[in-house]
Amino acid sequence: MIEPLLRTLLLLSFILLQACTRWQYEMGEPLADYTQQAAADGPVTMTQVMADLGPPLRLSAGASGYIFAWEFWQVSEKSLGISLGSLGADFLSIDWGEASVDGEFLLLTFDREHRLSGAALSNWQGDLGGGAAVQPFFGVVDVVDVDDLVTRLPQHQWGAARLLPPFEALNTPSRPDMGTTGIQQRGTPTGVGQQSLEMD
Amino acid sequence: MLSNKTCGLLVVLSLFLGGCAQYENQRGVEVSWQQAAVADFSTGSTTRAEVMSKLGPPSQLISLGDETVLYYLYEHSIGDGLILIVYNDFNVETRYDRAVFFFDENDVLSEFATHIVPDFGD
Repeated sequence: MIEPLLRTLLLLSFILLQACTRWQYEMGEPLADYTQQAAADGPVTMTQVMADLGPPLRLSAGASGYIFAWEFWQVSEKSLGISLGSLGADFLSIDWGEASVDGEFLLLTFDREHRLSGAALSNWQGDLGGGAAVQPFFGVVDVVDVDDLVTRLPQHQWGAARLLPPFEALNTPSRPDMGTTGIQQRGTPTGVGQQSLEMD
Repeated sequence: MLSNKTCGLLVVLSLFLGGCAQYENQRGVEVSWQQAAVADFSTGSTTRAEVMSKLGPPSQLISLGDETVLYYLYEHSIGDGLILIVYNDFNVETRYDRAVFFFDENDVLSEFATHIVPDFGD
């Protein structure tokens, strides 16, 4: 015999819960803190670094040498939606969502003689934001969005740079994903900096 | 009030109307830089033409002064999902197989490194 309360909760969950969804993304492989090793071992060559860490995930030439970056990201997105549509009242939905990240980004620079000239490791743990919404008639707002953090690496787009929309194609000499003007981390806003002229 | 029979039906429906998903996504160039394939490459003698002849066009070409860099990337994502009526769960893992080759002003190999993620997607 199922208790009335349990039966009611079961029925409500089927009627009201539009979707409770969890997305978990993992990109790359865990990193070693190479900054300490680099400092302890003294002058380090590019050959040694790539033997230890493998080829970088992001690479760019710079005025004084090369910039290498490795990254490892775990992004979690949770959302919950409640709708009265099942009751015939398709005019109201209530949505809630949040996202979090656990990321590591290792940046190494090399001079023109391929010797390590700088190292930095950053960790990013915490909230990516989230929100709640009560939306009548139409759901027009995503309360949580991690699309800019789970994009593909930029190397795939390198050959197609001239086929981008005009403002982006014109900005190719300054884009940080071309391999000649530095690199940038995932999720970097385009409203300021090297991509601000793209008017995205 | 909801009867036990209806309750049971909902539970059964939730079990049988659920689903699962598995998918994968691959982007980039074909992985042709296995250990055996690059064993013949040696710094100081292998030329850029020989590397490109064996591996094909790269994902990206970078230059710094007289040096050139060929970068090869293969991006592989595997996802699985559990789809129930009131709860959905998805996991997506992405790994990167890659190779990078540096050439000097004479187009001769000066540095190179390769990486293939073991046991991923097999």
